Amino acid sequence: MFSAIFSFEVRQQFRKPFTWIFLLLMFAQGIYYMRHSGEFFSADQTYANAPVVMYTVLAGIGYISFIVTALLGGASLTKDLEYRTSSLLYTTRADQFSFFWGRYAGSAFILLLLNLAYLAGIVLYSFLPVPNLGPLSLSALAKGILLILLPNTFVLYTFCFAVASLTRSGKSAYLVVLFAMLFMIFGVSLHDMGIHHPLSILGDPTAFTVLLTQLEHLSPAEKNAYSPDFKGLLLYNRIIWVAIGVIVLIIARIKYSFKNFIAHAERKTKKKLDDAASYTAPVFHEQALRSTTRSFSTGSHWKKVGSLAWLEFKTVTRPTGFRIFLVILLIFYVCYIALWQQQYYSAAPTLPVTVEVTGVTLALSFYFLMFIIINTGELLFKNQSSGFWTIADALPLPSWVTVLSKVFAMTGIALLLSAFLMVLGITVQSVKGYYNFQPGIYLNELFIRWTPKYIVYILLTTFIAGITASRYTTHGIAVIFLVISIVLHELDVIEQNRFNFMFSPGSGMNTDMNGNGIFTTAHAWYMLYWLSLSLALLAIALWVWQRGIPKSLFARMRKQQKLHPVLLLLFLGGMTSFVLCGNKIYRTVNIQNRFETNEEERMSSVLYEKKYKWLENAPQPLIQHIALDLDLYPEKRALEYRTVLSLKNQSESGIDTLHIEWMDFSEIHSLSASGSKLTLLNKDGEMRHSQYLLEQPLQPGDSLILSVEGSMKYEGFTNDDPQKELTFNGSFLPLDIIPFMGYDERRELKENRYREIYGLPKLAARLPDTTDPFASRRLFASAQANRISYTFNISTQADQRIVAPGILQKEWTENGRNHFRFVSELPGVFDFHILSARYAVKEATVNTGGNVKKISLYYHPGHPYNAEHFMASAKEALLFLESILGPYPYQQVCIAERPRYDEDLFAYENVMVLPENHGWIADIRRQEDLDYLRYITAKLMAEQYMRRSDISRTQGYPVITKSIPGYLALLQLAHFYGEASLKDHLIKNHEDYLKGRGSEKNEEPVLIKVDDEADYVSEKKGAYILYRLAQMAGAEKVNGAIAGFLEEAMHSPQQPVNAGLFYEKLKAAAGDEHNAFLQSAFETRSVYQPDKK
Amino acid sequence: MKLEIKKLSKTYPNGKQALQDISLTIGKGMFGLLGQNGAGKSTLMRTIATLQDPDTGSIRLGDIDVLQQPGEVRKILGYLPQDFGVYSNVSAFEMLSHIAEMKGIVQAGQRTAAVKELLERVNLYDVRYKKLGTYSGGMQQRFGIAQALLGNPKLIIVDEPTAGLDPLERNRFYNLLSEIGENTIVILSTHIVEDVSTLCNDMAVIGNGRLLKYGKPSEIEQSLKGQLWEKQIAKTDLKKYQEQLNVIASHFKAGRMIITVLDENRPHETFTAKEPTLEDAYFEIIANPSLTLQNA
Repeated sequence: MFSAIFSFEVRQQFRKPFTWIFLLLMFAQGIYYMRHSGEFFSADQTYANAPVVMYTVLAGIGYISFIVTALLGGASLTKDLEYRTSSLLYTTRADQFSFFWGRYAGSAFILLLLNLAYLAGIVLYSFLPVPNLGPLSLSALAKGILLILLPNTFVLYTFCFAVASLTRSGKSAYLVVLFAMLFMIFGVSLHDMGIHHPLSILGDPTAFTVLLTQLEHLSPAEKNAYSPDFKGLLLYNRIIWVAIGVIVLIIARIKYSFKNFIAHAERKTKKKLDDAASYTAPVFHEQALRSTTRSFSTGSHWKKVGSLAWLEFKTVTRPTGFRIFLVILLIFYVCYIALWQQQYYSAAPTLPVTVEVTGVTLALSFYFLMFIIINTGELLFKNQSSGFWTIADALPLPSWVTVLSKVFAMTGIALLLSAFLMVLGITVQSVKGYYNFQPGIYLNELFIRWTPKYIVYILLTTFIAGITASRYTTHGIAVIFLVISIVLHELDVIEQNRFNFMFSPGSGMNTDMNGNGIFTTAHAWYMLYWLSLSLALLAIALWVWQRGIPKSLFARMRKQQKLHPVLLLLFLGGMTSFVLCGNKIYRTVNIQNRFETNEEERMSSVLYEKKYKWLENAPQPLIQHIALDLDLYPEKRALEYRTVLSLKNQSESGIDTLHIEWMDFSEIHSLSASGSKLTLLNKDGEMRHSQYLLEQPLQPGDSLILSVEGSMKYEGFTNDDPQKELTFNGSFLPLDIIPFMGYDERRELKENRYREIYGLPKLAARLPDTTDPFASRRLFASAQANRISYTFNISTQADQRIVAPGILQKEWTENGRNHFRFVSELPGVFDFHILSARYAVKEATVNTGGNVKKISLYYHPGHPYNAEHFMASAKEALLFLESILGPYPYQQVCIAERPRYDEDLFAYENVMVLPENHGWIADIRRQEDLDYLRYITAKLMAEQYMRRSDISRTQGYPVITKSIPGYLALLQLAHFYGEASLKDHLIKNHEDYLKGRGSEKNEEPVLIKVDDEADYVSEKKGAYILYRLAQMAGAEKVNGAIAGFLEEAMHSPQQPVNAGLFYEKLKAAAGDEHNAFLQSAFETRSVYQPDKK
Repeated sequence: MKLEIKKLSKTYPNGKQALQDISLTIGKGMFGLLGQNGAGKSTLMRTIATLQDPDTGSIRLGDIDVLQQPGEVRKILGYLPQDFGVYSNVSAFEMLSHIAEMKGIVQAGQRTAAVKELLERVNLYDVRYKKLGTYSGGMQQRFGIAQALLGNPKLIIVDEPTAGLDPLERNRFYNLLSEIGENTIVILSTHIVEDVSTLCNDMAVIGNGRLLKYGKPSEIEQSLKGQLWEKQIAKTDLKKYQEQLNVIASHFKAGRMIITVLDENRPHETFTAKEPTLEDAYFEIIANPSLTLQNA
């Protein structure tokens, strides 16, 4: 009997389209999750298909697997109640025992089969053209299946099956998986927050958290060869959950009986209204039925669209299934915004500012879109699935009215979803004690950015439904389309948003300072573009819409023959608008803003190098003084400048040609040299390179005044580049606006992998050796100047301020514009930025040993939260660093905020610049969370100190500009919090180092030869090594070496020094007993391990 | 206004010929369509109700070409399919108002009044705010009847309408239908012969997709006058009689089997003459489809 029940169950599941659709989905999910997890670990040079990736993918299970498990486990026994077959089947010869176990095994078999498809996706990934694939580890796969996949499948399925059996409700299985997911998310969230409590780890029934805990500190090589030991937390987790599963299953078996189920079925039937209950004596009517007036005008049809949409909206939102689905999504959302938030250097959480809260929508967008697709498909085929079509299709209502009412109803659902997200976002903000809700940002992100995307997917699903006329095929095609579209986007196979349905530029790029910037317009164009296409597709769907008995697409087309004029108009209008918008987007993004694919970008770098590499060591005059008049027009994203550069030939040979390069999107209007005529020899617009012949060669030691006038302008919008140099608010303009002279090695292709492909020699190192005769005479910051002095006259629009290095000598308003005059306080290096934004300003002074220093804070007026703490941290840093490195070199310290377009922190001259998510919105209500502000201010200020040293642009210079400041910041933290409390920081530091190693494109440089592309070595490893040395040898020795080096590097050299000098001083200060440590740390690629004590 | 069906044929992709060259003219009043399960009744009904296209043939309703102008037919159509579903989480009142609106009753007051009236007529008024998912089979069927009658249809097609109704409700429905049938074309598809004989003034029998008989029930009934004979027999003898005589039906009466035989002469003195009923005629048509005339 068991075998009869089992085989019937299996055969019946095989016949369901659902099984095959989920088989496909599981397969796609396997590939998608491999990609996703591979991305997560890609930061550590781990193979894209390394065992760690496979283990986490197996443990992560995936949302589709959760749903499938609930569907199969939940329905296995309870479907007899649903289909009212219980009284038929329970009265056969089948016994309860066989029935229970036959059904259990039958559905389990199907679930295993579906999991096999998931495995197939995982395996196939190793054979796809994915970069950085390692060998497919069959042993890892086998172990993963045994330790992770099978126990997980057993536990989840058994819970669903048993709970559904005990409650006699298939729906309760959804609650089971919901809780399983919540336990998992909870464990992962706590893990991410640095809380590794055994209960939260063991509480995750998927063991995902256990794996995360084991994986976090593995080196890339270890990750590539990872094989979990079946002991400790993993063993306990598996034993506990499997044991609970077995117990629940036994209880369910004991409680299961036909009688119980039948009794339940009867109770359910009783809920049906009784005919007798409504019975009244027959009424015989003499009169005929009352007559009604009817209208079939187009106007009345449109009215019907409205009222039907409302009815459909209600029918979608009423079922429990919909509500469960929605609640699951919303719980995810709340978990994300409540628990998963950005943390930067330390454990200090971020304030739940609205941009952060709404940013979560992007992370969950896949699920929201799935929700929209599935509900749209269900609604479009609701008449079919409910059987109402036999009535509805014979009603005098054009199909377009029915379809449009459903489209509008789904639009209502999309709006409802967004409204829920907004309400929940605000609720979470309130619970966290944050009340600056910024409804405008909610409106913009949820309703303007995301709702149109849901709508185009509603229309696409309608199109697919129109073509296929099949509920399951529609679900399948639409979901697979979504998955493929997202995967291709993430894999960078489709780089241009205009080629990927629904995509628009600027997702996740909302900033408080600059709002959506250029992406507001961009998004509008892209959405109009996709909406136009969707409407054209809708016209086709309406044309071939299935009515009555199902017919093939061809039969429907043949029957309709020609498009109704209105549909034709909609189709042609949609297509015309699609083409016009596409053209506008193409002209704006590809032509006007010169979009380049990654491949094209690499090709340009290669071309540049091939064409101009010969100029690398050709002498060019160096800048000594800059007088710059700069007019910024942020509202137009434009600028004009006039600059007078004092140049000097510091080489040993004469210079007869100036090689001038200019920044992208800028133009040089005029170029003249005092006392020497310049003749344009060649202008290479594509490579932005010109050659000018000097009338008289510039002899060694001679000077030249070069006057340049130029402008720069951004227009329109881009594919994804926020063009942060010139924005509406928060421009961050590099000094590159001043023409570059010579060959710019920063434009070279640095990745050896690609250099080889394009026929360029591999780079042995990304910086010249310290013995390089040319480079050793250039300062680290730039090839075109050593120390310079400068005068800046900068103007900007009336409501913005300028932040620039030097002394702000004067500020005034003229012709409705703000003007600022800066002069250099000390000769600086040629590498800084000019900022323009609507700033709030806070100023304070600090007296350091008789010197009064001014601290100015320029921050976004919406981010006043930590202004006082920034000031206090800057004061502390000042006092602390002066005690080690001597007086702070400038009169004034400026700390400025910029939009969060990247994570880079800058320190130059007396200015430090931090993106808006670094410190400005940190939640520092707890005193200990202040550490991040202290750390970054100390680090950036120390960088300012170290940039006073004349070090050459050769290997190892970042030891001075990055490692030493990093070390000093750690030292300051230890000073405030004690060494013990630094543990978390050092662990995070170490993680960042490991991640950096992983993303290293060439070869990890040793510390003493570190270059400016390997911050993970200079900032993370270097800082720690110095800190460790200070612990071992004494901080005063290390500090002494630093101060001694700085003193010497600032004052003595005819020629810049290099990191070697510092290394020698350090060795001397530390003494011979630490030589071995230093040698290993500085001269080898040893992977450091933080001292955990 | 007449419904004229000409040379209608339909073959399904699996090769089954659902309709073969059917021609019919149906005027006002109740028209009964008799046939066994799978005879093609529902296909014919669905085709008239614009839900299905024939391969060949034409249907005209007055000036309307049903196959080319389905939208026009739907405006005057009331259709109760054999199988239908409802939105389970919507109340009868809500759903019926929704259908009324789709049928063009756009004036809210009129719509509510019409819906209420029909709910009363089908005896669902008291439960009008209950979700349709909670309705029993009979109640759902009555709901189906109500929706078919909404909007004063000129052509009513009811496919097995009394399935699931108790005898009282069945009567009630037929009263309602005959009331309406005076000024309307009502096509009643059923396999219950009695329904047709009591209600319809015209009828047709179809079998295997072909029109087997077409005419007035009384004429069809009387066409067998003087040719029917019945006899009480032992159950075990049935086979023998079937081999020897044209046995068109057999039924039990008080536990004994009675056979009906078609013959121009009394087969044997043990047979008694039988007054023909429509049921006999129907059985005869079904038993001898090849001999059947197209028109009575």
